[in-house]
Amino acid sequence: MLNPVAIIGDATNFLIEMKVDENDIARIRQGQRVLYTMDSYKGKVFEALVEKIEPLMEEQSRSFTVKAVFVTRPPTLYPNLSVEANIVIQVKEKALTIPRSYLVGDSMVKLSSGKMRKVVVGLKDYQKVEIKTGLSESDKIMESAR
Amino acid sequence: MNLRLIVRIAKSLLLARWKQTLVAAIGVTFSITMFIALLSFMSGLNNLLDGLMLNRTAHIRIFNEVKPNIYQPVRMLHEFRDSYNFIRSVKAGSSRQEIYNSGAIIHVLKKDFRVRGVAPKITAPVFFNDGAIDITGIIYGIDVSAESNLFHFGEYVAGCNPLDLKNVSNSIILGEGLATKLMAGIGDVVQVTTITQEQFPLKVVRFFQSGVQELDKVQSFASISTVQKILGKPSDYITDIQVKLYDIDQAPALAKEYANLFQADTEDIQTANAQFETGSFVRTLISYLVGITLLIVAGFGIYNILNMMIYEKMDSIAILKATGFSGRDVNRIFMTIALSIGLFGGLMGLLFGFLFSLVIDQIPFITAALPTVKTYPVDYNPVFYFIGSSFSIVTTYLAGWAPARKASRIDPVITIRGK
Repeated sequence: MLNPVAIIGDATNFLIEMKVDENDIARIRQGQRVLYTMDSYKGKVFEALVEKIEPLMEEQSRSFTVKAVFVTRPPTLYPNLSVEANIVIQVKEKALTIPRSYLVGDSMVKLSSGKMRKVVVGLKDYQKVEIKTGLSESDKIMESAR
Repeated sequence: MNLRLIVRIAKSLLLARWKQTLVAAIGVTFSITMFIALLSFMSGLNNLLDGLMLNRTAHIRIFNEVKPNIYQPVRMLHEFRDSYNFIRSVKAGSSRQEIYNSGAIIHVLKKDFRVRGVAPKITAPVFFNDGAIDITGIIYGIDVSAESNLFHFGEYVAGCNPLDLKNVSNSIILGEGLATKLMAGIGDVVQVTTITQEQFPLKVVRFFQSGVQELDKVQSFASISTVQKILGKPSDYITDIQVKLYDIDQAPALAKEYANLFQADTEDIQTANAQFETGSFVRTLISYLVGITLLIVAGFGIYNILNMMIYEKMDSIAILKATGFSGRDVNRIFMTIALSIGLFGGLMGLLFGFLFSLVIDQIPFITAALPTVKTYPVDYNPVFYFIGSSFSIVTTYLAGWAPARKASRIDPVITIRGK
């Protein structure tokens, strides 16, 4: 293996480098909040801001490199420390979510009266689904029978 | 009435119809023989099959799994803690395979009174070079003596001296299938290439047969220090710690405790191999059921024969009663008959069962998968003999109970007047 004799750089100025999958890259904007944890500072959360999205995709991993600058940072840092980061894309207060298993097909829910109703869904993961319109807090829904 | 007289009367009744007695006793003998032989064989086979997996698997495995972190930063921040966060494409962080602080962990485990032994291990995926072809394989770096003591490593090594691995430097034990693929014999040198493209020659000292062909095609073993050398890692580099406990049932609870204590992933044997326990449980249950059915059938045989005897000997019983024997005495006479059939039949059954097991133990059972097994496995567990003998007494007692009661109620006046 070839080892460099020396590496030149500013040992006080650091950036965070993150890998973002091509599926998600369209949602990333400059200035979005980044929350990160470090293996070397267990249990603490720090903040940063998205500064730059490298435009060229890495073909091997099908991901983009996104760089972020620190807002809060741990006192001592070293090059190449590992970071786990979440980029906050959207914050929505008072959103309505239902368990994923209550969603029938792509956009239907079953009301407790037995009627089906069409809803507009927003974000979803394997546990919960955000309901944008079509359902209110007071509606009662039933789990869809499989 | 004194006991000796009762026994003598029972004896003469038994001998008067000795063929019937013999048939009844043979029934018991046969069922006990089959019970013992069946259970010994089944249990031996169970132990062998379970041993294939259970002996070789650690009760608790401590390792670092490559998986997404469940403590995502956004969930830890006060601001977002109570809200629901949709997180997209969570990736496995930079988790390393190496166990952090492994030396201290092993030290703590060795002092734990519930732990029988600890064996460290390194898993190293490599390529075996055979001319132009690369064969993928795994080298496990093991502590040979710990592995032999805890996981019967030596039993699966043809030639049975795994310590060669420790004594010969840069040596390797190849899986049988892998050796065939590489056409490597003992004493040959095989070239391995690590994932970082380093080449390393290793000397073949033994072959290994796990009993699972697929595994033998990829597995091989070397000492821990050899694998650390191949990978270019320091001497505290360990990827797995295998723990064997005194009580296997404690594994799930202890696995959780260790996961918390050492901040690593743990896996207990019950979770990893749940189906094995179920399999052996069902096999044992079936053999017990068959054995007990045999005994119950024999019990009905005894019941029939005693009933017949009472009808035939109605006059004798009436005379016995007329000459001063009480109902209880007659009852005792027939219980003695039943129990002696059970006792002698049972004893003969135990003897024949033992002989039968010995015969099974001699039948050759040679399989390429198990180098150390030459004949059918038999488990000479005294518990089976105990269950067999007590069950033979219990069934004959129950079979004799109703006929004996009937005999004790015979009214001598009615019987004799009827003649």
